[in-house]
Amino acid sequence: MDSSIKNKIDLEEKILTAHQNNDGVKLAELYAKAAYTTSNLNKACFFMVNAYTLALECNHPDTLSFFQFLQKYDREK
Amino acid sequence: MEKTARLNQVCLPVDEANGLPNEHYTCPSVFKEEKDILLFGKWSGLAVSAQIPNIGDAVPISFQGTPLFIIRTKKNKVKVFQNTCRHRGMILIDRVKSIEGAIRCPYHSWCYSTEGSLISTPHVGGPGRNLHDAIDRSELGLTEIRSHVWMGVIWINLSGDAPKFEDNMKELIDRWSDFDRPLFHGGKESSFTIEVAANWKLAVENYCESYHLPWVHPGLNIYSKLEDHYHIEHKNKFSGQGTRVYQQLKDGNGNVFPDFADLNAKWETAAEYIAVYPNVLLGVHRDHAFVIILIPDGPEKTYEHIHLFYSKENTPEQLRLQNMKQWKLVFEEDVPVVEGMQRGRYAVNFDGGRFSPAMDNPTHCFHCWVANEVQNGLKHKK
Ligand code: FES
Ligand SMILES: [Fe+2]
Repeated sequence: MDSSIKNKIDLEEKILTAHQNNDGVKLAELYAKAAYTTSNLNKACFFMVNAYTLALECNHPDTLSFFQFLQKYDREK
Repeated sequence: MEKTARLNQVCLPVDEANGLPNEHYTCPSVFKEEKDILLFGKWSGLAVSAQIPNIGDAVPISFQGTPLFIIRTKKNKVKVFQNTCRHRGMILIDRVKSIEGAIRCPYHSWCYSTEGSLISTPHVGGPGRNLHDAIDRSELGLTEIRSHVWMGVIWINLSGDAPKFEDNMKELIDRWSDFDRPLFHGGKESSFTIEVAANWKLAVENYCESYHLPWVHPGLNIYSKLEDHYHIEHKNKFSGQGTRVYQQLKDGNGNVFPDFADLNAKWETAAEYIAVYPNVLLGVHRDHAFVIILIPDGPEKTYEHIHLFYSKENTPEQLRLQNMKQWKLVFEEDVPVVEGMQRGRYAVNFDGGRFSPAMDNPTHCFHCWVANEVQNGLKHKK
């Protein structure tokens, strides 16, 4: 299997597990990783919205940088 | 007799008056009327602020079917909000929890700050877009309920139009200014709930008077005799009783609770028990205070949530336990009479009963308040 596809599947699995465990911190970080590793802007913003939302909820130290990412593309203010 | 005439009868001088008619205790539609006028229209007790000691603590509470939650905000303020998301109306806080950052709605994840403002609306403008011109976040904050903390109690005014709490309760705040200081909740063992199969007003009526002491609380009456009690009446606001012979609780080694600081000498032996209309029963003593919040559940069921408070944080645990047990016994002794009055209200020919003009004045004061407010409220509605 192409390694990038494998990484993607790995990430998706980790995200599902974190959802099941209700682990907001982990989930925020995984969504951010998904955002940073995709080259499609819309997909990246979709993931980053999730990362930012969860970060807000758990007061994650990266909340501001997630916000700035979205703000840069006019997706949040 | 028609309704107005019967309610007028209640407000006659105590030696001529009858109590409230039966339907005020048994009828669902009168209960609903009173809920709107007496509970939602006034300052009602909802909870104690000790239930949310730390920043971010949030507790969902349904008050007469209205879903609310109490929260200690990031700015360390106690606030009360409607527990309903401004998007599709989902319940926001479904259990006791600590909010770390924002309140995230479990449905589509709109996020609110603990102060109530809407701070994020994920994907509201389509996938990956948190903005849409039609969604003005500044207009979509949580609906805050007017609230005020006094004597450790979170009071709320759901209708939003009652006079300011401090103005409304000025006489009592002044009367008890000695106790207007930090009260320390005794902790888990110092709160308990008693369920009573009776209309909430009967719990108020019974609390106001000392007349029943010799018969219902014989133990209490040994040192706190009927003749040591005095009436407290403030028309339209509160009523109750005081005693001149309060004795402090002692443990086996003669230890007592520390006093509240700088008390007036009067409180060395005095204690007062006041029903603040509509639903809060308070008691103060030199070394402790208690609050009872009455939460009605329909016309014939009431939860009495009882909390004990002290002058300092770390009072002796054994003594606290002893005090809790002592009060629990007293409040449980009242249950059969309160429930008995409820059953008595099914007698079709009962006329509301008469009052002892010497002993029942605080109870009459409460009846009169109910009768007046209900009449005014109904007039207002028309
Ligand atoms: S109902 Fe709360 S976000 Fe949709
Ligand atoms: Fe009693």
